[in-house]
Amino acid sequence: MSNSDRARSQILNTLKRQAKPMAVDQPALQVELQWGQQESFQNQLKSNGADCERVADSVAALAAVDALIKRNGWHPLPVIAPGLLQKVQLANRWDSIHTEVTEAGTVAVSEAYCGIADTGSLVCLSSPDNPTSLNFLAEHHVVFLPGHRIVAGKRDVWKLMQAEGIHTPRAINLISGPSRTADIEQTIQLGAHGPRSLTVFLLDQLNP
Amino acid sequence: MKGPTPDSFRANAEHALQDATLQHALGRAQSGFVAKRAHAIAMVDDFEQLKQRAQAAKSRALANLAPLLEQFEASVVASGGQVHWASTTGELNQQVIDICNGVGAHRIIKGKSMIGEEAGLNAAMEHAGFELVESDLGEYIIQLAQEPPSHIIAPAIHKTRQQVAELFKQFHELGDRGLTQISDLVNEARQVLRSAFLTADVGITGANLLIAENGSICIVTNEGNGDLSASLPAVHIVVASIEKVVATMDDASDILEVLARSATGQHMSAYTSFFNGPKREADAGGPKQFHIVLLDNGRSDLLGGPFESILSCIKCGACLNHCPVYTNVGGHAYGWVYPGPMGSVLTPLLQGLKATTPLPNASTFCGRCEAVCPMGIPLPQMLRTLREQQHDMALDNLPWRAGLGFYSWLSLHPRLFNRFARWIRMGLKITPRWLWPRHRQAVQPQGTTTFLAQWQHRKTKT
Repeated sequence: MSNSDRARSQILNTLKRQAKPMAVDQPALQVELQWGQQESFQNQLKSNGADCERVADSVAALAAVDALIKRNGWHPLPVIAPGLLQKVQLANRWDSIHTEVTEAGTVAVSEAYCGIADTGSLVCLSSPDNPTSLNFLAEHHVVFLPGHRIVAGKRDVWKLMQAEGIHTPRAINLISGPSRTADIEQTIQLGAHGPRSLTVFLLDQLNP
Repeated sequence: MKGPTPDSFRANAEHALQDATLQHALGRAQSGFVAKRAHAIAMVDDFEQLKQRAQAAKSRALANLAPLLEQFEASVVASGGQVHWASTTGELNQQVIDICNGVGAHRIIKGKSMIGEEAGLNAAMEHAGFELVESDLGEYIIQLAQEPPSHIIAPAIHKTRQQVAELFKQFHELGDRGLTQISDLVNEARQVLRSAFLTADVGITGANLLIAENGSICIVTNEGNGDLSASLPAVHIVVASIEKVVATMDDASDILEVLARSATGQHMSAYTSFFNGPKREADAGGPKQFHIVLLDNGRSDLLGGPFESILSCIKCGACLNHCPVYTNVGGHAYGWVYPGPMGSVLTPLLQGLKATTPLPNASTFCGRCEAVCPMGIPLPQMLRTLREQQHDMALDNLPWRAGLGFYSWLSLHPRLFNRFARWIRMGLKITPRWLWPRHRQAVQPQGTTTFLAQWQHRKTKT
């Protein structure tokens, strides 16, 4: 018997002996999936320190990304999530797509599964199409989200995943703003370890 | 780990009160946390309802702790991960070391974990020859300073920017530079730690919640360091205590509703992430191995007893931020990793009352901790029960016991009590103020008569 097995039976036995049978209140009745308001999602996200803009489609969004890069002097070539790259029309905007996210000033563009209106959070599911590292390694993070995919609260995300038959991925990242820290003198600084900025484009439709 | 112990709280507190730098840092911290939390709660329609739902989720979990842990284990295994169990902190450290040795690891990147602090995991890993770097900025600062955390969510709250700059200049060989602004310091840490992330063999993180229904672990951070620790290295090890488990993603969601609001006054921290098993076959990134080490360290004995509800604690730190004792003496005075009201309850329960006698007494019983606790933990009542226990065990000091004994005898003899009260009153009136200790305020008896005399007078009137 390994130490872990011995500890396991010891812990579980103690817990079973100590547990007091009690009437456990039932979880709240399962209600239908609630969709959320685009406007409150946008307001919440902005109050979390992110930018959020509504655009017609991915062509307009990519043009906006290009403009952001030029205006801020970021790395000229963005890294685009493989899944998004398959879906959108790059229209020769960039000659090549950057793949190394560790360089200073890099911009990662990824796609969110849905948004949460209540807290202005993006829900990003890891997959070969959307690697988790894109959400954290780049200096600037740009997220595309179809404007109609905003749910009310966190519980609705799990309902939506269930309804759409999505198995639990390796990582579910609820992202509610750029990386920040207040560990020195309680003063908020953006860009602790993750992206210094977060820009969200709400797409009316994917392609024109 | 150097420095104060729980047993020397009085001396620690005295020392802290005279430390001008510490007092400056604490003053700023307190107002920040309290105001931000109040604002976040005012923005919510019905915070009481959110609290009730979070508490219900936790009660469901505590009532079914053993079956939920078994379900969690089965779910982790089903998603390709491994679960290890540890009764003691020594076992936890050994299991983490064994896993690291098993994969031939040398460099470790670590996210913030109170269980890691409780176990002294860093020291054990360094002793075993590993190179371990803390990635949470606050934890990184206190790792350089070789100090324990002084706050459960802001470990370096006691440090000023000048002190941090000195540490960075001492440990980072980056030549002459200013480092006068907080942004300089954050950027330098980002730069230094980024290479640690990219070269680490193993990432160790804590967990805010463990979810039984699908075997996920939840990590809440603002920096994103937990996510990088969990995603970049080839092996991810999670260390967590057994009471972190909840039944479902819905229950986890209900607890998350109150966590960030109570802790930092955000509706949600920047990153709330659920990690589930190792990387999927087609995934480009993510760890190849996923391990969870579950720690008991005396918690199972608390279930079903008078202190069970301390297992509901979600480590938000609200009780620390609102405590008149913590905000004056800081976290180090408590002598271990858990400070403030929750620490004054948890530390004696984990370490025994004998070595921690002063802690249950480090309270004014003002009740703010219970009022702001999102999980409704009756902290003052628990401190009171611990005081009773230490009195029964004769752990309080002799003059105190003698005084209490005299008082209890006196209060059973009303005539003598009245006479004594009159003497005290007279004494207080005639004692010169300069005889009074400097830190105390003398109460000058008001009015011409005593409470007891008035009571008698009214009783005879009716």
